[in-house]
Amino acid sequence: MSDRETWASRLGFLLAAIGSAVGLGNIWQFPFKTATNGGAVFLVFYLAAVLLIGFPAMLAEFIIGRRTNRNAVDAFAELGFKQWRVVGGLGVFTGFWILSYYNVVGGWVMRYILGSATGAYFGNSAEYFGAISSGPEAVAGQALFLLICVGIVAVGVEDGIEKATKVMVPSIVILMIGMAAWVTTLEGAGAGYSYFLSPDFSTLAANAGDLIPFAVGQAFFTLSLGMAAMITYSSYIGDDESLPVDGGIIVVTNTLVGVLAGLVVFPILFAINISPDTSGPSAIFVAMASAFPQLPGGRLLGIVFFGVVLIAAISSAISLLEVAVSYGVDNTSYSRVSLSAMLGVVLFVLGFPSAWDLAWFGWFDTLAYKLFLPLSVLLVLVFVGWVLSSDAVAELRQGTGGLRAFGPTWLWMVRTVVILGVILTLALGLQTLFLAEDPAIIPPI
Amino acid sequence: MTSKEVSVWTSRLLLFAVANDVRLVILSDGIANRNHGGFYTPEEYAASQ
Repeated sequence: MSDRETWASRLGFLLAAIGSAVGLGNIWQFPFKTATNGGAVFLVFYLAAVLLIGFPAMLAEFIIGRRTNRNAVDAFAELGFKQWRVVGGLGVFTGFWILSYYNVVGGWVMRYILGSATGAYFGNSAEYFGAISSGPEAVAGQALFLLICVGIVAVGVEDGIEKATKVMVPSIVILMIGMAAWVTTLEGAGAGYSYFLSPDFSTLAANAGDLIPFAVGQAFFTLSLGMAAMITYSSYIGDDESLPVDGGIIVVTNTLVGVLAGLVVFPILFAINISPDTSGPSAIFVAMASAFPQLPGGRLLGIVFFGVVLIAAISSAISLLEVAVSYGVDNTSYSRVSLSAMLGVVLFVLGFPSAWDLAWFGWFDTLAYKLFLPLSVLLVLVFVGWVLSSDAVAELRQGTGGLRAFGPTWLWMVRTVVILGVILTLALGLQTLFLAEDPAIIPPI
Repeated sequence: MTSKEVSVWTSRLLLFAVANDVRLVILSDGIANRNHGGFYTPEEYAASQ
């Protein structure tokens, strides 16, 4: 353990963890899931899920990581519960599963940078997305994005992730605020705000089977929970730091960026007469690509915007890749470089179907949200809430100063509201995966 | 987990991924750019209604 790299500073950890949380999850996936799940109703459930389930669950992962200073799999053995290593393994697998199609979206983003430079999407932004989002071109984009991420992880924690995210995160937030302010001047934007911010609960009963798993899954996705990422990241935190404060900063920043993305995307979609529920995963791409041609210096703005999104995507992708690489570096004779390369090949092959065909992309995404993420988080919560129990509260107390009463409240939350919420999410997800008329578990052909 | 075990598990995952790819290529027809499952461009969605 003595030669393990550590975070250079507290700020470095925070920015890197925020960098891990702020990525395509907020900027692309949040508008996509909001658009396909009823707008403001989804926002209400998502915010409730972040606060009541996501935040306490994040602290659970922090506790495992910091208490052991080990990777996500060995952390469970280090605590004396070897048989629970499978939970860490499920987290690593879930991260891999998600990363496999995340790379495809990374490829789309790179293609949009090129499209901004040449003005290729200026004629018809929706058609452009249809043309580049699947098939050989998407496979090439996926490969290139993966190559960049593997390269950064191969260099190592200090040189790669920490330095890069220090520059990335503030620029994302500033750019999104600027875009949100400009969007208020658009004609027809009002309908977009009302779609995003005025919930209509009348359709809730009919859509709960999709809405709740996707809202809770979105909270896990954006906070990088259930993917072993936060366990690995928090294994680098010192005992004198407050986990609730660190977690709170990450949750708030992360949520604000997601809401900002919604405040940009939906007014634009309504202003250009595109119905959000038909746009699906293209929401952010079509909205932005429609906005830039109308703006002075649109091409440059497009390059800057998609450039920043690319940086955010890379920072999140490398944090997931780092989970597996850090495990390998700790436990095997493989070098960081060869491990990164090996995992890169696996990820490319695993993600190929998602790049080739959008129906497969949807299948990977649905399985992640309805099965792997909630199952992985549920098992972590059971472990921390019942197996670690008072030890977890003691770990949470480390470095909290005046927040000493927080621990028991958190444990009570985990054992009641949080666990019930995740069980409900998983049950609804499993119902649509296995018991529905057209079971979603069967891969599309 | 030893180096050997990591190799074994990585190979298994790779095998699963390859099997998935083969399944896609063999069993599908007209596989490129099928925009179903909700993934339509707005124009395609309108045309499909």
